[in-house]
Amino acid sequence: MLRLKAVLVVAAVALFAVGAGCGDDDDDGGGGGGGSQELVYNLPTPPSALFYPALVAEELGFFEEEGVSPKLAPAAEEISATAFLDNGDADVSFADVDEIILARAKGGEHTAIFSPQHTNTAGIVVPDDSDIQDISGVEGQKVGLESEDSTRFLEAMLESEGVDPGSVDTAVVGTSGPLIAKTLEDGEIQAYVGNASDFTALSANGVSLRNITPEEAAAIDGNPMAVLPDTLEQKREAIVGFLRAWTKAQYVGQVNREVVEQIARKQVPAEWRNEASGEAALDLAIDLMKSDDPERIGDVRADVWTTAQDFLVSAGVIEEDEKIDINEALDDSLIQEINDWDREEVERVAEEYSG
Amino acid sequence: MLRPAEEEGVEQPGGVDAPGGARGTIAVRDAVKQFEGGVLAVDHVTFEATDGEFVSIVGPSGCGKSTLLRLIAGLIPLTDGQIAVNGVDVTEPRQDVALMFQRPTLLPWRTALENALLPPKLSGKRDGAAERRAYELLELVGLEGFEHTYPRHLSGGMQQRVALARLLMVGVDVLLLDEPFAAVDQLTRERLNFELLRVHERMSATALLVTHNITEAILLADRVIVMTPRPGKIADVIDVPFERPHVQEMVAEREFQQLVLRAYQGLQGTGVDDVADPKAGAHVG
Amino acid sequence: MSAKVAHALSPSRLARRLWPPLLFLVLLVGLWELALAVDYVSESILPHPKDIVVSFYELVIEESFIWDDVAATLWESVAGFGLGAALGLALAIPSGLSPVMRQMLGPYAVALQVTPRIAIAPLIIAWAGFGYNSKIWIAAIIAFFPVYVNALTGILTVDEDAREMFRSLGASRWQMFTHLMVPGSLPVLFAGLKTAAGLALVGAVVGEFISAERGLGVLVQQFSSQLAIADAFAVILMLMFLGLLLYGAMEWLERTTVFWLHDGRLVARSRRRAARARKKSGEAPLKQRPVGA
Repeated sequence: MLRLKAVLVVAAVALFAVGAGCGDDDDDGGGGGGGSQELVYNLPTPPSALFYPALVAEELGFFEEEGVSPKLAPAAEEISATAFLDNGDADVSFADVDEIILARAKGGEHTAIFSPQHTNTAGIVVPDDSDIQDISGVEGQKVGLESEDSTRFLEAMLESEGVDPGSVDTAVVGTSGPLIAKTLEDGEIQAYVGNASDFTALSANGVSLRNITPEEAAAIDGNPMAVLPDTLEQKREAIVGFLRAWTKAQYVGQVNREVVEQIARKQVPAEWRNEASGEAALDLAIDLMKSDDPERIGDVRADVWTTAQDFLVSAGVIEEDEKIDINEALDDSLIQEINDWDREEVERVAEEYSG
Repeated sequence: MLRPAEEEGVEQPGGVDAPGGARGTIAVRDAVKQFEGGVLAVDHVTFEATDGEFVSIVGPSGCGKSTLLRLIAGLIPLTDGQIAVNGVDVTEPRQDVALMFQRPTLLPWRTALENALLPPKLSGKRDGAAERRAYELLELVGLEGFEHTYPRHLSGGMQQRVALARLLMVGVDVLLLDEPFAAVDQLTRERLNFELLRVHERMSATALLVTHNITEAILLADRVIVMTPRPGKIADVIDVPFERPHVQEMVAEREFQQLVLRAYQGLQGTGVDDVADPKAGAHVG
Repeated sequence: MSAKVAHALSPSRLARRLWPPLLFLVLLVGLWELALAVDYVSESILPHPKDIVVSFYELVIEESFIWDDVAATLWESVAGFGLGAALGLALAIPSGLSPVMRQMLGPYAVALQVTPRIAIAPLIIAWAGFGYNSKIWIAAIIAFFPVYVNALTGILTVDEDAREMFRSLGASRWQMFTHLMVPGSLPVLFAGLKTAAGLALVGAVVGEFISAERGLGVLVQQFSSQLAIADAFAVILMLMFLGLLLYGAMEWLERTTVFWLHDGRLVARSRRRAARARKKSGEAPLKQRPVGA
């Protein structure tokens, strides 16, 4: 009898779980009242101050204003963001420049229509007290890598400065702050190729670093937004609305840091446990999103994309004859519309929030 | 532990005359069993047991006596020959035949009572009457007060008694027992043997008991079949002339010891293994 | 009944049960501090136990955001465990009863087990979406194997003598299954369930590393990347407690379901049945005889 009860309990739990596993997802609070359009966007991180415009646009009501209810689909960097677009799991995706170029080289139609970060998130650093002044000094040294993928970025940078990549030893060190610090301190590695967020976190915690990323490489966009042409056609209104809200919020960060900090502390309290790191991370985020031309936030610039493609060729990732036409990969037709809003009005809204 | 033979208020197990055959008949004719791989376990065995008899089969280890029992039970198929129970050929396990093995094989998640009630439960007849009968049978085998105890808390001997009660729940005319008390100590074994006899008397079913202990075989039975070592053939059939009810004191009698000797000689056939020493089971006095 | 509970919680009894793990903890902390003191490991990689405890307190008592993450990870683990266990059982039963099914499914079960989750993550996300479901499925995949293997073993290693006894009583295949195989395989099955419960938690966290908005796995990453190492370890401590909770729940369920392996439960059940029986037959409740004879 008790056995029967136990079996029923287990069966109920199992059915419930199967239902949960197959049922409708209702994980995030994708707001959306009646009439607003849904848009699924992919970021390489969970909600974070690094992509503060998403947080600010939500909090200050910009999404609502534009009639969009966005749904975040986070996925680790190792997962191919372009794949989500192909599968239809996401409408738009903040991917890597490399990823988009490679996807197109394989015949995909992914197009970059918006690029919020006009500075690279990847780079190479040395300890502040190091003798190495610029990347040419890395010749014959040992370099730590964030992951195996970082190799091609390193090779491309070296080639562009005329250094033989074969003269450089590499080792994958990962992203653990203390470990990076230790290996640099002990002299096991003389330089480290990784993510700007990791650099700032280390700096904020007492590890002085100097960034020796070559200018060309540093200018490559961080996370441009890609979309498939079909989706752009079908959801144009929602995409434009989303990006308008985004650019407004991005602008707020450039003129009113305080408000962004307030919102970040509220939305992602976990990132503020270490005060110094939190401040540094926010500063970095705002810095990365400083636009080349303030009137054209998120502009896609063909010249840096060409540099990026050349990097891929010199690193041997794509062949010379596999190169794609950069102009076809970029679409800046929306930029003007996206930036067409009252700057002063937005500043006022921000001030009202903090006041 | 011996109680008067007649007990009141306990229903007698069933036993309608089987069609085309007398109650409780076992007929084995030229039975042969050869296993895959060529092992010849039973080699042309013929015998009969009828209404209410208690027949022992004794033989050395590996002589095929257990196999023979399993053939009669329908658990394994015959290679050649014929076996009929209650006039019907044996092809699979039957509802009119009850089995008891060395291991009591009680289900550990059921109480003594629930284990005894397993047969009616499986045949769908677990009702109030069956439950009452189970209580009575447990009392009969001396387990009153332990009906709701679980096997883990019952000794080996007690577990076998539950198995015995389970056996008796099945209203049958034929009982097959395969060294049922081999796993308990000598004293308990003797006690259980006599309980078995007592129960057998009341049931008037035909019983076939397999053992390798000569004294036990003669003590319990009306007739003893002696088997040779493998391949199993019948070496001798010994009638036991003693009056019922058999008692422990019989063992001391000269006539008894002569039967033991005769059986022992029958076993010698071709090389004897581990047959229990004929004197081992004898408790004089 | 309350007397029993009172007895279980009596100070002397609790003390007896708690001092071994506490002693071990003291030894562990001692070794830990020693390792830090002789610089065997750096403070920035392994914080002092005291710092971890302080972080834990702050996160749990002072801040409150951690509870959202606890809820998320707990939900993913439990649902993933339920799903994985259900699948494990569902596939183990036909495998146990049919050699053909066993040969058909066996290699794939193993393949699923050894495939790195990150490799199939895009597939899972494509199928289950970005919300909780993908984490639940990853947890389910990890929890599946121990349940499958153990349930299968339980069914295949049924007591041969008992099986023969059932046959001799004319039991049908269905009866053999429900009355013998199922109860007989419960002990082994529960061993698998206990393993799977912990693994489901691991799976949920792995799933969060791959894609998630919230959860304890997300927290660990967030804390690590800003070098709040003591906080990261505090989250790991919380995960440990969750693991103990899940395991404990399984143990409790096992004690209830597989009661015949636990003396105390058997005695209690015997007593209850005897009392019930006496009540039914209208007699005053009589004690069962003391066990063993």
